[in-house]
Amino acid sequence: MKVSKNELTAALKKSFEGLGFSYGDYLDAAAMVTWSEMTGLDGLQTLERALPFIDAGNSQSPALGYRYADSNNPHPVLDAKGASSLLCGSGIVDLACSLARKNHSVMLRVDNCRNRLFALERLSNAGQRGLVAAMGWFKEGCFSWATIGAGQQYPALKQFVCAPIETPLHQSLWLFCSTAEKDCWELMSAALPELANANKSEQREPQTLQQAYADSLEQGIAMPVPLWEKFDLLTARVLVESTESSRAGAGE
Amino acid sequence: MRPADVVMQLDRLGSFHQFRLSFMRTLMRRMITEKWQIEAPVFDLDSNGYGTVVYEVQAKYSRYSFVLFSHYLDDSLRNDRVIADQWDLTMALCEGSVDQEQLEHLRANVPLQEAGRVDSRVFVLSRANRSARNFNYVVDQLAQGSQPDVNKIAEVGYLYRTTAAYGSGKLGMADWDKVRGKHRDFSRPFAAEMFTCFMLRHFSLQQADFIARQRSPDTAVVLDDQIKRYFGIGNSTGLGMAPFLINHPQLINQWVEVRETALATVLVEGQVTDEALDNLQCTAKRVIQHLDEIVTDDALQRQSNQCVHDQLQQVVLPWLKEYGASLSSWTQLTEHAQANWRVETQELINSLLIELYPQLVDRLEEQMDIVERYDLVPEMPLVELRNSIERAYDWALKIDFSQPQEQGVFWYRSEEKMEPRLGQTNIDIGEERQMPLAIGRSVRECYDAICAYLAEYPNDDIAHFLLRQPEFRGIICRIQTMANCRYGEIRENLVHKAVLPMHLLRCKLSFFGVSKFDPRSRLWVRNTMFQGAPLISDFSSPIANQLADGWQFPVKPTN
Repeated sequence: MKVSKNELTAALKKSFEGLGFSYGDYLDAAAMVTWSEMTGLDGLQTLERALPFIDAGNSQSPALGYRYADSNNPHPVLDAKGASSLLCGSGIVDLACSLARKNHSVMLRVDNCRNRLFALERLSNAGQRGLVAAMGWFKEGCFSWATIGAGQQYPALKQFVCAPIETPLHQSLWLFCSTAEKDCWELMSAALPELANANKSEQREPQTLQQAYADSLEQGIAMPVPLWEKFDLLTARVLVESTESSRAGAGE
Repeated sequence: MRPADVVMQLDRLGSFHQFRLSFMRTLMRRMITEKWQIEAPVFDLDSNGYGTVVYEVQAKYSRYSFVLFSHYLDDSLRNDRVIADQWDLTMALCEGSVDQEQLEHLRANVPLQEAGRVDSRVFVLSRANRSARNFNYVVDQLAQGSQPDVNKIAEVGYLYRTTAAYGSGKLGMADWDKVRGKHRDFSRPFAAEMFTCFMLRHFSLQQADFIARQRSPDTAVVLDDQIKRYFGIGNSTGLGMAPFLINHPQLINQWVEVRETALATVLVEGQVTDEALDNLQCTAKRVIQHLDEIVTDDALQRQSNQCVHDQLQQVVLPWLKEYGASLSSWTQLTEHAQANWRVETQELINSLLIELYPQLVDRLEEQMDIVERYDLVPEMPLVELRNSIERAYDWALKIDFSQPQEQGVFWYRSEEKMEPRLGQTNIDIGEERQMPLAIGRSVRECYDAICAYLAEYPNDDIAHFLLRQPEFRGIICRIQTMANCRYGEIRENLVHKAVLPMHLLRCKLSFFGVSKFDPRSRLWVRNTMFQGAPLISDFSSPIANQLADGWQFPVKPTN
């Protein structure tokens, strides 16, 4: 089956609400998944894999604090406490944007963060707000690297094959934000020397994501029926039983 | 421009009347001035009027198809509620021409409405139920060779009622972003939905003529054009429409701002000429007749119509007669109205004034749309946000939510087609699943949290506040976005025990361009669309442009 952007977003909002996300969180989460799917990044597949974890009592945004790493790397480090970036991605990117506007640039590291792909939509949002931004994370022997220019709508994506790194950085997300052009890759490489020997394996230009988005808008988004049915079940959690009395509540 | 604390009160919003830039009015002008061509290459009805019709529409920029299925429906099964699952008519508006394969797919799915799926070539799905008594009467009269009595038509005003017109990408249809970008003919808010209702009206008239002719080919006549124009389409609107106004404040701000800009422009630039004064008085007299002819069972609505009618006749017209010639600006009229006359009379006069100067206001009709974007400004100092709330949400901070009546109701979605409903706090089930429509309460909770936080962290920004209290992200995003909007936020407690959602429905319907409100309860209203509007056959008339406007506040045609 196919669904429109609006239909998917509406279903996701209700599904996340059914999972227990609070008001702002479910709006942002729905936008993240929709965008990831429409830009060809398999957002729905990633969500499907993440759902069991989120539904097991992990649907509240954690309150986050941050510390500064050692004096050689004076960048803020946050602990997402295992939360999905569907929940903490907005807060983290907003923090980066705020610090960048105050200090011209910032590099953040977020430890113990899941589903980091979804934070790309927030990165896109930062770009549209006039900031240069980048983010990187490890997953299954690859390092994903996304960059976006100030005023741009879609990031460029690269994947690098590199040697596995020591946990827990394997579950970390690096985020860069700046008010001016910056060589974020240089900063990233300085923070992670393991990247020096990384080989680029895949690349997607912003135009590729843009075209995928346009195609999704024109033709609709392919929606696996089992997942749509899961959304129905989650949505049912926010619906109220209909009774004769409740029908009167609609003006009968 | 009038301030938000005047305009964005529920009772004033609920007193808005349709006006020149309402969506139906704009659509009608466009269809006529752009000379849209509408034909029916498929008109496949049996003698009882059941079957399939396909209209092809050649608009200014593109071609479209309006596909309609007419079904037999027993009178006992007819239901206007959104939870219904059968209808007399079901229809779809599609891009381009429709081939046989697509037609069969539509035939299998359109009659199912929410239970079916269509594809992204469709961009509106709708359905309608017959006004059986009126329909049967009209067909009987035509079959016998007579025109129906306009007094009987005036009691209902339509042959069919539409109970929903879905767009915006539901059920597999094209997303609004696609329609807006690809289909310029329908790139204004709800233009496609309004067009669907116009075509439904056209079909209803064709069908009545057709059935009469089938029944009595020797004696049947067709409906007189004047009477045809007097038929509109009924609409049944319930709570489903209400959350839209609360969930899309940027868009509502745009609509209200356009209306207020039109009014302000007229007040500043509209010359009070003899012709303008004469037009105003003539239209006011027609409104008096229009109000006189409205039939509604609702006692409160009847009373309200009567009050406005009497005030127009006994106060406004005499005032204009006495002072009109000496007015140097229409502001003298609106200020006097605001100080002395009912809110509904004030808003009626505003609509009539906007009507007088098409050359000043029509350019605004393209400004009804906006790409909504709700962004957080995370670097804003929290103290600045607090000050912003005190300025823009002073109305919310004055409400004492500890009083039971201030949280007397809650909004929720029913398991029946997710229909929005209103529940009574501590009485009805579902309170824990309520929809986040109590904006005033959410602002209050956020404000209290900010004040407490600032006591400990006076120099923090929003980003840092939200790291610790992420639950306020949504409301802060809204507050910051709406700080840049003059209107948009309804400045009342929407969970107060005595809240009247009817005002929300009437406000949105006024922008659609409907008339003749007939409330069925405080949560549900019938109304009439396109009554008095030109016919498709008028598009090629020598006086088409004259007919394009001047059909608002329709009155009974003379027999």
